[in-house]
Amino acid sequence: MNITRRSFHYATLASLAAITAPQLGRSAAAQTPKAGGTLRYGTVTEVTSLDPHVYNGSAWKVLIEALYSPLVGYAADGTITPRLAERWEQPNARTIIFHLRQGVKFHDGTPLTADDVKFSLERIIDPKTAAALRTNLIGATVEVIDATTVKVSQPQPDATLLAILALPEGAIVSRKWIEGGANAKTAANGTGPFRLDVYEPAVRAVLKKNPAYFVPGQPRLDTVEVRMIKSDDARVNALRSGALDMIDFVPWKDIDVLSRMPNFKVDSSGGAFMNVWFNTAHKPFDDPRVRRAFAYAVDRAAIAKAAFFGHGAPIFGPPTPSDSPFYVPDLAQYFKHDPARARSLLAEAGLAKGLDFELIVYQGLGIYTTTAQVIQANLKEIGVNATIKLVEWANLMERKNSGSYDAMLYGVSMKVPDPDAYAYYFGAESTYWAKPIGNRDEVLEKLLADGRATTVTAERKAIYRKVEERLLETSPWVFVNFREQAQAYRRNVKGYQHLGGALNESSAGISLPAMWID
Amino acid sequence: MAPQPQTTVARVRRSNAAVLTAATALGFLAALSVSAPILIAADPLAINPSHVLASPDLVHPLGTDELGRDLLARVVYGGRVSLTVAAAAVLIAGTLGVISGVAIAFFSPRLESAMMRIIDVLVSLPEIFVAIVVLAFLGGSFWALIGTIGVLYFPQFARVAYGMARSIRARDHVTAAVSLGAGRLWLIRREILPNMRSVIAVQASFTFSFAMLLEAGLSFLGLGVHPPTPSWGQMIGTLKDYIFINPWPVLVPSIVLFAVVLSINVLGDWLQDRLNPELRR
Amino acid sequence: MHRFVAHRFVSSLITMALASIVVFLSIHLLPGDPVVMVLGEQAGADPMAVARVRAELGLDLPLPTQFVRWASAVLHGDLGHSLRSGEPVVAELARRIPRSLEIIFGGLVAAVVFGIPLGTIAARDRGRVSGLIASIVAIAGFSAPVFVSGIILVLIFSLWLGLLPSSGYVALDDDPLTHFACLVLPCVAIGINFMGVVARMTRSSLIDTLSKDYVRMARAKGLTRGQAMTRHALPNALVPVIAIVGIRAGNLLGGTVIVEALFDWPGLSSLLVSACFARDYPVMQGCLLSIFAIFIVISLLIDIAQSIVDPRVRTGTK
Repeated sequence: MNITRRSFHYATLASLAAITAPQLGRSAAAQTPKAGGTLRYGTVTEVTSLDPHVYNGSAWKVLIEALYSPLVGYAADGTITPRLAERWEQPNARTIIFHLRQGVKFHDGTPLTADDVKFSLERIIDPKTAAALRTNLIGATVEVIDATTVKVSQPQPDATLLAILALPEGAIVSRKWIEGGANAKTAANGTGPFRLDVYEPAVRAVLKKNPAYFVPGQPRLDTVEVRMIKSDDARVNALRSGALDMIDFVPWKDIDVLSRMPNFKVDSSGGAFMNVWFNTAHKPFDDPRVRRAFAYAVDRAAIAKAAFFGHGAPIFGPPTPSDSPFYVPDLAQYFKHDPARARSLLAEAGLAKGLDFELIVYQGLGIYTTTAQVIQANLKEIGVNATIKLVEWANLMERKNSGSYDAMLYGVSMKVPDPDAYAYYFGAESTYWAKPIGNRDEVLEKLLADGRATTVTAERKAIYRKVEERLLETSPWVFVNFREQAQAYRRNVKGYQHLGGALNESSAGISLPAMWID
Repeated sequence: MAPQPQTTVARVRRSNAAVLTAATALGFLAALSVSAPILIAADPLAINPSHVLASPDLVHPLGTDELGRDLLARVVYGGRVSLTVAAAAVLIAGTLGVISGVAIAFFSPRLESAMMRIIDVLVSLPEIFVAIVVLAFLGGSFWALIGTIGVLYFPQFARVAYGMARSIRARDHVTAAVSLGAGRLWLIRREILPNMRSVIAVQASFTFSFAMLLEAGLSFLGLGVHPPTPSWGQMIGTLKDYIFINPWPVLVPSIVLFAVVLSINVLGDWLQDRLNPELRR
Repeated sequence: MHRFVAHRFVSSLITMALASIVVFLSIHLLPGDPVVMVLGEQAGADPMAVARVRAELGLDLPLPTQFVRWASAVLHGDLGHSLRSGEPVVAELARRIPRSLEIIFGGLVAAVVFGIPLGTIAARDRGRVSGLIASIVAIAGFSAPVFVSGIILVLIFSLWLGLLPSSGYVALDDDPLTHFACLVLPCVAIGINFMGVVARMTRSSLIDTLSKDYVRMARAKGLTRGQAMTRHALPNALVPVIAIVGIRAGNLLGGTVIVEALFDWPGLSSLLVSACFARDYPVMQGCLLSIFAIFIVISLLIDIAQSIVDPRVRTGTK
């Protein structure tokens, strides 16, 4: 959710490393990167499309980051670094001018031009593409100044623009290639460290080293084999049996098991988080007291234990990780498990007898059904009868997009490492949650607009504290718990840096060019 | 998945002990399911997050599931769901099938072969694929399961009923009765239906086990009843994910389901031998 | 003979045409909208975008028009493109079908390899303990749901013995050994059920044959019971068994639904299941069409084979 907390985090690590370095001299020598080799990576996501602008799951982020390059990117410490743009300047809070690297070529040999940048960003804005970053860039204009200079302007001041363009979804594609009729869903032609060798949708992808990659000495690996293995046990067993070198989404039940094994390393951190969404237009969920009653009724610790085997930190306040500079300690314990309080809130709202409603739950993942059943049991204690309705993904999307639900269990992650990410869900224009149900909160909208318009961190901190207070007070969502996301890999896999928060999904993609097999 | 009782006939007398065991097991289970609220003290829905995936102990004689719920209670209540769905589906399939089979044989001489051709196509359709498509769209639920499974198995009853109706129609005394002006409805009531009873009973016993397997399979895939309501297939589908933590819980519903299908098949064979001796070689 | 084959062929085509109408209608008449899946989590809430994509996909046209379009494309060998990946459905099917056939074939082999000896023992040792045990194993196998036998196999061979992977898929050209290691458990799981059928069939057929005169004759000539069995009775008894294997092979396809889900095997059935959940209409239609085609072709081949063996079938006295 933020850009700078990582730098702090890793600075601490670095100083620690400096202190202990002499003792580790020999092992440090063993850390010399090696070139060559194959990384076999197992992912839970069945990537069905490689379109670099249309989000298709966590592994899609990894693949897109490996195949394409955005103008700027994230370094392993979370700071923004040059990618296709070697430098940039921000003359004002609305505009950024990018200066492109010279001599960069797409995998098919076509040279990269400023026109490709314009084409790519306009492709993102085009509603036809259904791009992930579209809402962030609506209204933006892209101007080619010369062959290597591009100017991107937003209609309003936007403190988040650079952070947005640094996401892998901001990939630059070749105009010639796309307009030539290529199917960007099944083929790839980028400027990234790897090129696409084999791709079978939802089954596997094989990436080969791009020898012309613009970062000298990278990538180190020759080949990356991505196998999409939806079954949790299959993925874990493939790692354990040596068929894979690294897996993502280590099932929560296996995190402790794998951590205790000597030949594997497990890195985990809070990533996405689970929520109960209310349709604030439906009675009785238009009443904040009812929603707050739910927030007090849910036993988050029980969910963390039962559904996440202890790897799902409860969220009693706003969903901001404690290592974020925007973290507000005195909001962190805003709610607690308090059925009595919940009952009295319901009574205040005139629902002393309780209520019946339908909770929409995604059927495809065990954590959803398990979490929903704990919530159902919790609500029963305060006299609320929840009927769980399991729906498959398509149905879930339909209901979400048309607002046809009372309440819904939904997991999300912050898409941008900036607290403006709240606007993505709660902003009036958010087709994600607010717009389909017609939720408007003018107080919140004003605060979000203020937060976006200023670049002074201290001011933004004060604003986003108010945003979070407002969200807890009105509780349009009950924040439940963080889903700890873990990656596990064999000890001979080197150079992987696990990131938390919004960059969590991108961790493997960001580390990939620098990774090697020892 | 085996639609034809003729092909699965055990043409050999099975020892009565096996039949007795199977009947006892089924009877016991049925009794347990019916009287579940009286006999089983534990609440099948009561969760306990600090006692999950446990092996049997004194409090939970069959252990607990992924939310710490009592597996004995869930298996018994799950049996109610599984058995009810299968029984209701057989009832629907049997009623629809007998009506349509007899109707084709008696009321549509011209359309007879065309209708039977359609029935043949329907019989040959692989039930599970059709069921997946229908349930994925409708969303699984108790009634959707019953309706879908019932409709899917009706063509088999129709075929059997049609065959019986035709052969009875051709018998001498029936032809005689018809020539003497006997009404078709009278004929159906007096001659056809009573003679069909045993064949339909055998078909029903086999369909019951297929319906139960289909329900279990669909619930296993997550297309069945919604949690926290248990059904055997759904319990297996959920608990299999924890097989590497504790293999015990998934075995409980698996073994029960297996035992029930086995018992029904043993009884079905026996019924077949008793009621349709002409099918025996 | 030729007339019979031609007749059966034509009626198969009619069946296929009927099936394709059923497939198309069932998918289009059931509630659900593929457009949101095309647009994704966010853009799907924009009514303009939804209308545009619906028009692009031709979903706004009247149903009969859509059917004619689809059917004429199918006749030209074009099953459309996956809504999710944009890939031709035919290409996806071409990859998936062989993998399901692998499981079915492996299952058949397992069923025959275990089923025939089991049935033989049950017939030979009738009235003895070994015979009873063989019969019990057969009916137990026949009664075990695929996912129950699959779970027991995973317990034994993956969890306890650590011999085989509990699930997963590796491409044959990536690593042939692992490919086949991954294939063993699904095949055995699906084969156990069918083994029960084969064993019961073998047993009854063998008992029948053993009472025939020529077998008694062989015994009278001084052959041992075992010799009479293997040289004379078994080969004759297996003819109906083979027929039943053929007839029921199609049913194994239904079993692949569970097996592919349990063992995470990317075959035809798992493609259908995932396409259903994603409302990927072209892929669903392609899958169902190929499943029906497989069934219809199998039944056509069986009919033709039977007509060669048993001429009465041809004259319609069946």
